[in-house]
Amino acid sequence: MRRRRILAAGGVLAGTVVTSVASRSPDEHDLVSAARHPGSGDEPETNTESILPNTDHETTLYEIDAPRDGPTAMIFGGVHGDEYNGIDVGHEIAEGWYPDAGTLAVVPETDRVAVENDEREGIDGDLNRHFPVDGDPESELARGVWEAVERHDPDVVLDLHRSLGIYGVHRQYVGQAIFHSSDARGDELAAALNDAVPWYLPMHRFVARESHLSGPLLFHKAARELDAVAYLFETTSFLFDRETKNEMTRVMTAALLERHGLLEAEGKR
Amino acid sequence: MTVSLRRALTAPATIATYLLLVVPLALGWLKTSLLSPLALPGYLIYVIGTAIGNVFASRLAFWVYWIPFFAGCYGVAVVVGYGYELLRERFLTASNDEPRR
Repeated sequence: MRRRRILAAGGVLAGTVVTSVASRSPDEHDLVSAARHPGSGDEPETNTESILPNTDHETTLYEIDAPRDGPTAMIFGGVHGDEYNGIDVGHEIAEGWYPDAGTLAVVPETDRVAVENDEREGIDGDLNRHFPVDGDPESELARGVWEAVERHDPDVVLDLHRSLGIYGVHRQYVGQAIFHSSDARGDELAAALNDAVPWYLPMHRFVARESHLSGPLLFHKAARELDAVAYLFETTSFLFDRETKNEMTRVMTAALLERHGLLEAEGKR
Repeated sequence: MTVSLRRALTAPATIATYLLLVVPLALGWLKTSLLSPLALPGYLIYVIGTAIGNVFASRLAFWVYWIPFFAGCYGVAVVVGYGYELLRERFLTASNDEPRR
């Protein structure tokens, strides 16, 4: 009997470890790969500017101009300082993504004080509640961010976040979801993301939800006042480590750039 | 024809089931890329458990749910082990009852 128990335990342990290692998926997503490698044309030109220079909030906006004309997309990470996926991927984009057309503006550390303190909120609280429906942004940082948004007048806005749980599964959390304006391509982006979610994690599949845009959120204001196609992306910390959240964020960003004409899949270049 | 509680608690089928429910998910918890299809049963138990718990205790951090998960998986494993041992007992009895030729 003891031998049977040891054999059963050993067999299961060895089997699970082997299966786990064997089923790892190291392949880079095609669109992420396309974003990381320049196309055949000239390389994009990157410029930087400061939002709120010489203040506690000073943060860098990177502007990447592709060789061909096209739409302008703005991407924000670090609106909440402890949501590393947007911060990490924002820096990756600034340092080595190559759009094929248009202009890509990225702010990796939107609330830099919150990022430095490793906290959700900065000096004036939650930045993503400072963009009211009928009125000016409610804090110095929000006003600085909004001035940059108005100056670049983006066609597309993407705000990168992470939640602690899963939308529709855990009542007060919104992970694995794409909230978007009415003219957006949320369902297509969710489908692209779900190609990267393993079939054996069914509750982690992404959902797209059209937003009523009536809240004080940055992407709401961009959609309301600039008619931008606006998205708020939420991955989750629930059973996902930092690298997996980052990969989901990369796939979302690359798929969005492709759907909105800033990036071509590698086969089409 | 019965299976003792002690036997159900420590049967090889119980141990194997428990490890199958817990180990693949625990590996994935350490590193997400180590999740495999074998994690699916444990994953469903853990996610459904957290969803139910989250309704009643919304402020509870999700790591706390590993404790009821370990206990719940053992309960499931004991039921599977008991069932397996019962079937095995029946099969052996039926084999012994057959007339010798």
